[in-house]
Amino acid sequence: MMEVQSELYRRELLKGSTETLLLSLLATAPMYGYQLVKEMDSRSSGYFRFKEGTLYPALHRLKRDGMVEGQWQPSPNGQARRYYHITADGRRRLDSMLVEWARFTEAVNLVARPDTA
Amino acid sequence: MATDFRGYLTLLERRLHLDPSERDEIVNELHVHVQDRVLERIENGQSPEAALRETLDSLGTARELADGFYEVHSRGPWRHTALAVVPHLLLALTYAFHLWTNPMWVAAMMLIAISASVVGWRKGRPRWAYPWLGYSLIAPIVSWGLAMSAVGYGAWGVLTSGTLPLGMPIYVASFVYFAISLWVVIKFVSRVARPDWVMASLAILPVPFLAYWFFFFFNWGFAVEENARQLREVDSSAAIIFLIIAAATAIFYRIGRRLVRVALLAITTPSLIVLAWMSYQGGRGYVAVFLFAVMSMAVLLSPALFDLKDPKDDDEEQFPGVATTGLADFIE
Repeated sequence: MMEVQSELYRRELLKGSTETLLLSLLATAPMYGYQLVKEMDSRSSGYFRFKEGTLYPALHRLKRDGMVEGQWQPSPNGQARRYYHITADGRRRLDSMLVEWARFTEAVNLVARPDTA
Repeated sequence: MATDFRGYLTLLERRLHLDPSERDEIVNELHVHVQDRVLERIENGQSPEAALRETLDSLGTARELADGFYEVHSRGPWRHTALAVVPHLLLALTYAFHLWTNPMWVAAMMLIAISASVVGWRKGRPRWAYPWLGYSLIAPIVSWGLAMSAVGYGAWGVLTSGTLPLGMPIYVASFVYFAISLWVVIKFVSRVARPDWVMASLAILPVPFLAYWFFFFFNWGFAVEENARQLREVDSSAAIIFLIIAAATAIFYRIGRRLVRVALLAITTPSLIVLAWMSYQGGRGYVAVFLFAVMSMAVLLSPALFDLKDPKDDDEEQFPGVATTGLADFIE
């Protein structure tokens, strides 16, 4: 029961952080959808597992809002893939989200763990 | 469990309701994704069938995925919303200042509407263009109504006196014109309704009210000068109605969910007719207005006929987990 609740909580957190996580990954290098899934999995040691059906609409939302740009280009094995590049607006948005995130976690710690904060 | 990749993509394409270029890009992107994922799973020791099944499961159903994309792509930026409400605001202005009696103003409005429609059509019909395209339809619809009146008048003359009140060439021309304008309207609606019939319905949202206004004006015998005071009174109501249409259009563009959009259109149309009826006729003749409202709803939702569902589309579970079609796309 506790595990189920934890899983649900994790999903909720992931849902609210999808944009930040995607922009953070794309800030390091342009990537295509599947590469993003793999990178996310590997960098978070398996903690963040995207439901792949939500990844693409999220990427397209970022593209619509001008945070990323999509470009079809051949990958090393010759297959054409859409690579997503972060834009200048995307970098600005990411910076402000990371600042906000730091404030948020600090505030959560102050409330939840006052002795360690 | 879906194990039919081609069937999955077909369902997805049908449910996206997006322009062909956007749709093809999405399908290609997902195709490559599924290919990568399946090959990786096969390399890790899974059977091709199990690899494909798990991959498609992680994408969710075609319906969920298509809804996610539709919500993103159908909303568009704010400037599209602003461009889409402009024609309604211009109509509100036209009525508020009683400008529809000024031929120069009307001609300028028609020119603007047709120019915006041509630009929109040539740019591949971006979403902002639909309300403009709807107004461009008004000219063929009105002239169609006039041609029908001429034919009806002739039929009435033959029935009552056995002779045609107007010359035969006029009726032949009316019939030909009727057929051509009907063809233009159907061709247009079917073309814009293909990817997303809801957009075609949005394009014709003002048509029921304009038809109501036209009949009302027709009943007054087009006597503008004699009825100037009353016309000004009802013109304020018409201006308010076009402001409501503009607001409904803006809401339509800002909400991504298709079902909510349909509901919005379905509620707006009869509400506007009732509002017009109360302002124009003071609530008299409720049976006629009820029939008119029902007819307006039918007209507004008629573009859905161009998007009739494929019977195969009803059940996503129609593809049993037996045939793994589409795997050959990935495995040599």
